[in-house]
Amino acid sequence: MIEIKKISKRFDKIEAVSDVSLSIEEGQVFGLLGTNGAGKSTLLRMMAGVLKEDEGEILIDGEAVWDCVEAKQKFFYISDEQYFFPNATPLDMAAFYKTLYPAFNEKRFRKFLVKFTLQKDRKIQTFSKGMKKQLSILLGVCSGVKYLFCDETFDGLDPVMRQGIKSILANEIDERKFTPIIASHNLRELEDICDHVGLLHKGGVLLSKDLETMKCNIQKVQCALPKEDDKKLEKMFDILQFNRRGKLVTMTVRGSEKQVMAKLSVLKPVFYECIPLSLEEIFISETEVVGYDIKNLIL
Amino acid sequence: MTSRISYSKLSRENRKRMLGMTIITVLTFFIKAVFLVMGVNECSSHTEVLRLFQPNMGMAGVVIVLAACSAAVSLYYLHSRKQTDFYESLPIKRATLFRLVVQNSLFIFLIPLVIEEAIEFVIAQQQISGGGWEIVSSSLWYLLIFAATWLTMALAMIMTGNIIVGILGFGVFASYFPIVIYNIFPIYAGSFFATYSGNTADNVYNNITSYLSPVWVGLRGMADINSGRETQIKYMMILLLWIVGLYVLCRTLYNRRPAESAGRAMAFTKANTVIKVLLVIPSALYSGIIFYSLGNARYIFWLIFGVVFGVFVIHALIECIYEFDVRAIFCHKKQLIVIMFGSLFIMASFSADLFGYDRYIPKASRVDSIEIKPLGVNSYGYWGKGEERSGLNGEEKQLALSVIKESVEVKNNAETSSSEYYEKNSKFLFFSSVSKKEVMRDDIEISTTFCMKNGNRKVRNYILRSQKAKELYNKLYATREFKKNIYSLYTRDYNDIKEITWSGIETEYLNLTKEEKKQFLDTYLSELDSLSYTDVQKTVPVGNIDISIGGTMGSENATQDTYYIYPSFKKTLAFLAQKGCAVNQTIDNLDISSIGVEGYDGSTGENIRYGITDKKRINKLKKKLVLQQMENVPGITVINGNMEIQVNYKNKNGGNSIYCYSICTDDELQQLLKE
Repeated sequence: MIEIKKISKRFDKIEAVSDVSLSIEEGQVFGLLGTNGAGKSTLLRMMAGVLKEDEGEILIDGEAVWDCVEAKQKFFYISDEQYFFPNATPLDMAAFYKTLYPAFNEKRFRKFLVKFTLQKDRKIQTFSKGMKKQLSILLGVCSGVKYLFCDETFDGLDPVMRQGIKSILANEIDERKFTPIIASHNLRELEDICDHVGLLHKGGVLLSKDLETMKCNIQKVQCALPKEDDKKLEKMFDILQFNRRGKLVTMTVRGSEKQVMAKLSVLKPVFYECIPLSLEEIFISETEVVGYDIKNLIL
Repeated sequence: MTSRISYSKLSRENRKRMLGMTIITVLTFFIKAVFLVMGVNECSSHTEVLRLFQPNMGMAGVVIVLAACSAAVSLYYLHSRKQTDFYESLPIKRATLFRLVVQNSLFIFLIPLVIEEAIEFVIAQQQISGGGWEIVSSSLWYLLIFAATWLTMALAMIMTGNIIVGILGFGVFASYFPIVIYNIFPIYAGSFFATYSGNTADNVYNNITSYLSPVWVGLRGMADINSGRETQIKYMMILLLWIVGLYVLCRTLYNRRPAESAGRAMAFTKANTVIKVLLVIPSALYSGIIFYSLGNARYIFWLIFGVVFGVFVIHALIECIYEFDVRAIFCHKKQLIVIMFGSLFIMASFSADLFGYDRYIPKASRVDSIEIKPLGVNSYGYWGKGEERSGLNGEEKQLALSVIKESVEVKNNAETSSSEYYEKNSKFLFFSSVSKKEVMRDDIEISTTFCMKNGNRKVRNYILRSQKAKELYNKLYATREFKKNIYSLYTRDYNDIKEITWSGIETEYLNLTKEEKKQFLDTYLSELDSLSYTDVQKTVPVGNIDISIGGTMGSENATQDTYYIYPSFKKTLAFLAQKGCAVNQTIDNLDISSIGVEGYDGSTGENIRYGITDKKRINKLKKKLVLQQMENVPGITVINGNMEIQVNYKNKNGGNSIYCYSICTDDELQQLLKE
């Protein structure tokens, strides 16, 4: 388990992470979502022991990370720009990691290289960006660690590769309680892989919830009501987003589907239905509430 | 903790990444070995071959470059965010990683060094059956210099976040104290303190600053390679202390270094202000002295201008480097003002003598003794063994102090300087310093060392009125106490004297028993006691004795002193005559067959050559000649040292030649030659 307790980190006058507390259970995929400059990379780098927190502590299985070999042997960190030794091949990197991660499975790594058509003796500097990311993930998976920290790793992968990697991660999770922590702003990618999501905004945690629970508690409803009484709707529902086109109302509200439908039925709508929300819509709704209005950014 | 097994594997992996440095290092030592073989083939003597195995400054320079490159390459990852993320996330302790990098860098240097020195040893044994100490000491020197330089560069890399700034930082660390700080005091003191003597041997400031750079200590130790094993070992121990201290400092800073400083100018922002102050103030002072010099050192205004200008420019430059932004020159205005005042204050402490350097005359009760450098008297010289110079005590000390005090005081306006410099800068000369005192044409400068009771030594040069100076010297020179400060023979252990030769017209080696040596030297000293200051100024010596200390003349560890024999030294001359020395021979009574004159004529700009055989002309010319060895005798003024005058004469062995200088004017000499 990874415990992040009241972590803060400042760079000169900029507060990159402010009083963040999170718990990451083993055996689940944790998605670290955030707006630009939310502090995702900073938080991940602190979890990886690269940056030292100004306040608070980060514990991995009860051990503080900073400059601790035992704690660091439990995770593999993949940076947004991963470094490889100059002129090194995948096998060279594997040999290097094997010295540091005793459980590194070289046989499995070679099999993965074949499966993902990455040449074992080819210089990594000739790989494309996507191939390098694939390689990083394979190295991380084969290192035998409990936790895998990925900073925007999936972004450069093609859809086929993405699915391949996802299936590997799923297998690992099933077999040995492997716990990937994936930072990204590509919400679509995380939607079908993450079990738990932490949402960062301006250095703080906006929410940290189980994905299914999150989806259950926000509904997008379309309805047509006999009377146009928006104020009544505001009183009845906790509205996150509201849009009216003539008689047709589209709104995002908090609450379970059952609760929302029950309330709506009282108003005797001409038409109403719940539309599935994507993670992106949940994300936008949650951030709009605290003032991060994506429409303002587009303008 | 990284296990032992994985540590060695990690070490091997790290060495694989340093293949480039390994190749360069091996190549360097290969070329060194080749040069050695070529050099040995060119040598014709044992001494020349032996010198090849000694450590040399050229190779030291190469080692410094190798070390700086090695450290920069090994620690470059600290300056790259990508690499920092990689290394810092690995399951290795920071201290382990640092130790690993240091060990591997040393290892990569040490192995080729040892192999190359082993090859040198084999060659040395074949060629000269020796050179062991030279080879061992050169290995040690190169290794120590490598380690010291590597750690200095490592410190620069750790304290910065950018390679260019890191290289600049290395330059500052290596040269700040021994070059920047070392020279500020002498330059300013020499420019503004009339009593500054420039004697660095007694200057605590200079002695300390030259040890404050490990690279400099290494180079200095190597430069003094011929000063004996004890001195070498002393330098090596100082360097070793530096290496240990630097390693501890580097490791501590490395552990505390924030990873986010990769790519920034400086890693520890708290140190920025301190570094800025330490760089701006000396740079501004140098700027001041440059502008002052460009103004022909006549106007202190240009000194002030230069300091202010230097503060602005250097402060702005450093801010730009810190922030990587030209607009940052307007940052930290308060700091700029404080540094400005600090620089001007330090400048004024010299130009206006705020702290009374020139006015300094210690109280008699605090002075243990005074050493006055003899004026117009040759001083000999080697104070290695035997009693140390003790200086003047008692009445002589009081006399010296009172005369010096008089020289410093400006009693009335008549004594105030009328020089153009004083007129133009009087408002900047706040105190009644020596600069205010009028300097007369015949004034004499004397060098004085106050040996304080607390062990300190303070050196000053004072300007005395000619009459006062001569009175002082007449009195002091009459005392044995003063002479003991000038002539080391008084306190020399005679057993250290291995050879004595007489030099007059001809040179004779004195073959003396131990008792004869003692008798001779005691006689000489007793007659030297009677020699007055006036005698020294006006009398031409008959000849001189050369004594060789520590070995025979010309041997490696020997030093040589020369003592003049004056006509009044009757007993000494009698002794020498008894030993077969031709003490009565002078240029005047020689049977001269010819005189050859060759040299550069300054008036015509031509090289000239004359051969004179005419007896009349020889007789006229010989009266104007002195032996070359008398060149530095007080009372003899060699007019034209460019003319080499060879006097050929007949003696019982057939003939001989001596070399002389002329003591007549150029016109007189030309007339004599052309007659």
